[in-house]
Amino acid sequence: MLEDHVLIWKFKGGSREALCGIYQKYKKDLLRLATVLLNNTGDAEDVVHDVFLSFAQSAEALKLHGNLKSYLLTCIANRARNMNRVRQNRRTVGLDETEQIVSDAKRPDEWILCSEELRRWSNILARLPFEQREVIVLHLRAGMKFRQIAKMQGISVNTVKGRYRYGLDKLRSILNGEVEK
Amino acid sequence: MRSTEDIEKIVRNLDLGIETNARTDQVVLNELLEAQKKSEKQDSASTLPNIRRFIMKNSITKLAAAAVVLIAVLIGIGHFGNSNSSVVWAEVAEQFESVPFFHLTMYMGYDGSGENKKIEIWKSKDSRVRAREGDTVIFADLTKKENNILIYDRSTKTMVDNAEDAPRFLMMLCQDGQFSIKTLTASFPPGVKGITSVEAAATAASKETVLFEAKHETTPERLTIWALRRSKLPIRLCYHDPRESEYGDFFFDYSERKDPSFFDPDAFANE
Repeated sequence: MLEDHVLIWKFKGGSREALCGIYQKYKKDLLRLATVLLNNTGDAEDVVHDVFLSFAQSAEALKLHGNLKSYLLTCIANRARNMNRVRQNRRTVGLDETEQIVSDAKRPDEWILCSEELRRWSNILARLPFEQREVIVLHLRAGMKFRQIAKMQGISVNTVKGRYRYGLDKLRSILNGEVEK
Repeated sequence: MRSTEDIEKIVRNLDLGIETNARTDQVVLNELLEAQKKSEKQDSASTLPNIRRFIMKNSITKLAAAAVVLIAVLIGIGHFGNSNSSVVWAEVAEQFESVPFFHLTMYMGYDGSGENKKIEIWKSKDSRVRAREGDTVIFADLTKKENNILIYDRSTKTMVDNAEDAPRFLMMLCQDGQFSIKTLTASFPPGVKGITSVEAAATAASKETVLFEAKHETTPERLTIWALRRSKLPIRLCYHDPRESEYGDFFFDYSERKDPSFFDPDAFANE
């Protein structure tokens, strides 16, 4: 925590090293979260890139009262939600029917190199509705409390808990189904 | 069949390995550094007259900024004051750096408002530090590098993740194992001039103390410093900004040497 305090303080003072330090420290956490939320490495890269870019430009205005990791993860979650909305709109008007997956196919400019386990779980979690997946991932993987998630999404804690419960039930049936196969 | 609890455990403990392409990493990082640089230029061009206000918007940096302003002005006294005060100030700054222990009480807030912040810092001879801020007690060994600051809840005596401003303030006040006002100057934008020494009225107090006063070049911020004439140690630093009736009042006390256990976090936790 203290390391983060110092990094933030130096970053706000214009330190290049601090920005590099923050980037190196948290890039994987952010890419992992974005990948699992969006189940598409290209979109995940875009989201993380955008978050870091606006963070780099925010030194003067940055008001950080909590911890840095939570702040960055929240930024990722918010952007991922927006991107998901865009995707849904695209699908609605029939412009993009392709299924989003984290695939093995190599892209020439790829940034993320996913492990087999990450690919597998991204694809499993992608079978949940985005809202349920988001709550599960933020609670279990990002360590956010239901209250924090509710505040971030502007919904009630009960709604968050409901999404979590339904999501877990569905995940359980998916995984149990896999076992039965 | 897996239970819900099993699923929670599995998801929580998943080892989702991820690596990044080093070349793309460097490209992204260069882009970020470029964006940071551009952003700084824009900020300094558009907000130069109000740079302090920018800093002061954040309550956490307020404290640091006040201290930085204060210290930068203090350093300025050494550079721009008249020859007599310059010598005296240099001695005061040097004396402060060599003082084996001290107790600093800081009050910050706004005139007339009920709200103010109080932080106390005690420094030991071996550069260990204990600070108190609200419900937290902070221990630090500043002779060592990172992650040597421990934060405890004052009533439960258990460790907590975060304190408000004291840890940050400690890091700024003390770097490389030494409390020094010079460590803060690097963060302050230049522009401190027009500093004058103050001839105090001939009172009993003025025989014992030396008085310094400094003004910021472009803002009405003012700093007054009292130091003991004989020991050359600063005893009070008072910062005031009349625009927002903001003040910072720092009192130094060198009279009480605390027992080593006072700086021991284990001893505190087991009290």
